[in-house]
Amino acid sequence: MARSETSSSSGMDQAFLKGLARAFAGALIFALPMLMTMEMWALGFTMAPLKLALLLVLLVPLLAGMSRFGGFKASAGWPDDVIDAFVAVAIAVLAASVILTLFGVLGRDMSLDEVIGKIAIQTVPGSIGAMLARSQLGVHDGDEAEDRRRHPTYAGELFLMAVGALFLSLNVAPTEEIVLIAHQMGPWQEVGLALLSLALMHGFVYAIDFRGQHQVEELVTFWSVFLRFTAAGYAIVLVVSIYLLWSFGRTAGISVDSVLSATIVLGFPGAIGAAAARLVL
Amino acid sequence: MARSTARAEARGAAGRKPREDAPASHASAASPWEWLVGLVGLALILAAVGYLVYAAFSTPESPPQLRLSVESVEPSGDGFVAVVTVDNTGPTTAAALEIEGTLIDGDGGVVETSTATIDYLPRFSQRGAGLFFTRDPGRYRIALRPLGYADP
Repeated sequence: MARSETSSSSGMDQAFLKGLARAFAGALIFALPMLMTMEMWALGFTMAPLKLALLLVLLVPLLAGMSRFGGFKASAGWPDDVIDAFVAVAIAVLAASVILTLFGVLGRDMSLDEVIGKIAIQTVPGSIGAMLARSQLGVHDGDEAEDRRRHPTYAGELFLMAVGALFLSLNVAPTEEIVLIAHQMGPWQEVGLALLSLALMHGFVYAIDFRGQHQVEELVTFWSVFLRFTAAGYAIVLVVSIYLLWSFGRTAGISVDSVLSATIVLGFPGAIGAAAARLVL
Repeated sequence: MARSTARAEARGAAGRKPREDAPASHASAASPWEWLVGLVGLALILAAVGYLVYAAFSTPESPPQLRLSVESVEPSGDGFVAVVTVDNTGPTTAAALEIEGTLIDGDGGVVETSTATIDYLPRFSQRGAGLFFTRDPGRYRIALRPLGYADP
């Protein structure tokens, strides 16, 4: 069970409360656009329950992985990362419940089904925001965590890109505009958008000298970096896009052509998110 | 501890955990409070997932099941409004649901008809609507029926 020195417990509690406040702020900052989006409310009760359950189940390892690979705080190991994940979830549920109740999105006359769905879907961006806040608004990391952040493994880098893609895609995936934009685009525009996504991803992370910038060594050629990071990252972005479209019921009864087109459209913010994740996280 | 890109990649590709993952101190950095809030988070996730899975398997797929009822009739402007409640007892959400209310006189003749649209009527939920009439619905029979809906 949990151990701690009782002598310093009040100090720890205060630090912990600060951490909670920070996480709450993060949940609000990152989830507010979605808390104020009508489609997100509707998803709470229109989304297939099993798909929503799957999203929640996937959320936990995602958050724990963020705690680990993001090196958000000096954590002693995986158990701590898992606790962090659940703390972020608790904060996100609280934030979503409070805000949605104040907005009148949740009411006493609504069924349990509707209330659970509306909060559950908002928990995803909220907990990612809570997790991010503990890093970005937080105190100085431990040396080990700092090292892990500066020099993450290749798998860690790809994971962070997936988180970034998921986060930014989630902002727009529920909206009608994704499908509408996909319908408005011709084949050449789709190719152009895919190429722009790739170019931006590559430029963002591997050409600009910035914090979190991967050290491109002299021996490593452009194509090597492009294939291993940019192309692999974009593939992850597209997988995340198609997963979200499937989750939100935007692939059912729709031609492969239209799904592909919507995937590329949703992949655009996803690519920016993935690239930015390497800069921010 | 500085590692090169190539090495980091090789390690990642091999699917192994970085070896510095085992720090000297094995003590948990989490305070009891952190454990407590974490447990609350765990309980919330389990409850939500449990409920959703239960909901998915306990209810067979079927279209929305609607029940309409008149809650009250109030004067409104120059006419009247019939306050209506629509209850969906089915496991499917109805979007753009249109409802119709008709005033019927003693001979079965249609006196007046009004419609209203409900953006979303979630599964197992109810929503309110209002139907306006120029004549007093209190003096006639009000027949309510849903006209149609779209899948969300």
